[in-house]
Amino acid sequence: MSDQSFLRIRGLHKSFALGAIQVFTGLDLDMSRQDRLVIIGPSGGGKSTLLRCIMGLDPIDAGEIQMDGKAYISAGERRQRNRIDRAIQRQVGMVFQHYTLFPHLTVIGNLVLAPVTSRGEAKAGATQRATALLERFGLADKARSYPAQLSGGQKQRVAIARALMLEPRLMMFDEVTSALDPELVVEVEHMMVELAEQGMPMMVVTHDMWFAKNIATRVAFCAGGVILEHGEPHEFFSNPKLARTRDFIVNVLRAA
Amino acid sequence: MDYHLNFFFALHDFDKLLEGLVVTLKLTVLANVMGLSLGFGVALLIMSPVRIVRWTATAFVEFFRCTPALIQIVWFFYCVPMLFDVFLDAVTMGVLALGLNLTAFNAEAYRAAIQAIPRAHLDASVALGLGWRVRTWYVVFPQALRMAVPVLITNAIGCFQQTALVALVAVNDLMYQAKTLSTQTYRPIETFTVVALIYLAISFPVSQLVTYFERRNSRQMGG
Repeated sequence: MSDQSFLRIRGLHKSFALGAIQVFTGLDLDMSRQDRLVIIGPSGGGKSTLLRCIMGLDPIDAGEIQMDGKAYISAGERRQRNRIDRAIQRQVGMVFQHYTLFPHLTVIGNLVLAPVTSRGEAKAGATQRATALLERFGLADKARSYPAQLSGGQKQRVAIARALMLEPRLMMFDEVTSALDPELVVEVEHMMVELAEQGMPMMVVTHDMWFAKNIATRVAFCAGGVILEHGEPHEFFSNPKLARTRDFIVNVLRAA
Repeated sequence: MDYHLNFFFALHDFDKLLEGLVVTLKLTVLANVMGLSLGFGVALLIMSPVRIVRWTATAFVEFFRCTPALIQIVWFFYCVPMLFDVFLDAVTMGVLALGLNLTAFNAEAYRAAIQAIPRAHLDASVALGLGWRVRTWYVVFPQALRMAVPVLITNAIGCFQQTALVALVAVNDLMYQAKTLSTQTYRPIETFTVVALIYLAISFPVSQLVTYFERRNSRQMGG
């Protein structure tokens, strides 16, 4: 695997409620541009928090996040705010589990809002790009629909398309299929696979073991705010090193 | 009982009542223009991270919510000119008093609506790189407005009724005309009944709008 310095996290400390709830105590992580990192683990283990910290949604207490060797998020001294490089933040896209689309806008409206208002793109051009994107993922006929008229799977696919409108260099998915009916999971998975095939680096938190086994380049097991184990999927699933990891895998696969 | 109901007297001078109604409607509409727009701004101030801003805005809202509207109107009419040496005409004073009162109530309605917006929308806005100005105008305001509409309309109807209080400071609105007419004709029952029906005839259709909007909202916004 080539250079690991696409995304680099060093010494990440994060707590909630002024230190009462410790989430991370010195987490390190490296990711290369070819990586598709899937993070699995029990609820409350810190997986979503990790993604939120990388997105800049939650402040970090200590440590540094770098992208391409440049400082992206650095913890401030003591109670000062984090220093976030907004230019880099704009290159990171994220899709969430619930309520992602803006309900008062149509699908097209959702897609063009950010490019038009925050990137100064002309509405006509943005609409063209949005339509092309929707066509590419089979959602063109829903362009003028409102989110309430879409199925859960369609909503998530539109949410992914909305993030792609900003041409991110890193995509993060926070349990995007966890709230969907099983039969709707496939269409979202399919879209993520297509993105993967086009070489999009991604960090995915999921309970979808199929994706972890077949699409990930690396799988990490995160529990209690620590990445207990990580490795290449085949090795990871057939020979987990820790008993904890083994138990988790067995339980999740049994439930599937 | 010796009193015989005779609506002729009340209806004979109906045009005077209509003149008063025009003033009442003018007060209501202008007060609402103020209350609907400023209310949102005040709601944002109440939720400001800056403490002094938050306290000032909250004090404003609590003052207008926790004192009788009549006292607020009297205060505007008599105290403000004396304290600040400003002399505005009666209708303007009325609009200011009623408008600020409505702003305070609407601010609470907007605040509740804003806080009801799922946090995920704010997360999504950050993930999309939307600045707070864009986010407030394009994401928060449209949703907060839709959610607050039933309460805002109810407040508007309340304001319409509350305009009657300006009659006590000699603004010639519908209630003032009603009082004048009832004393002239010695027919308080008939006069005030007719006037009550006028208030009702205007308020009722507007209150039906609330039901219409609530139904439309639940259809459109599934989350």
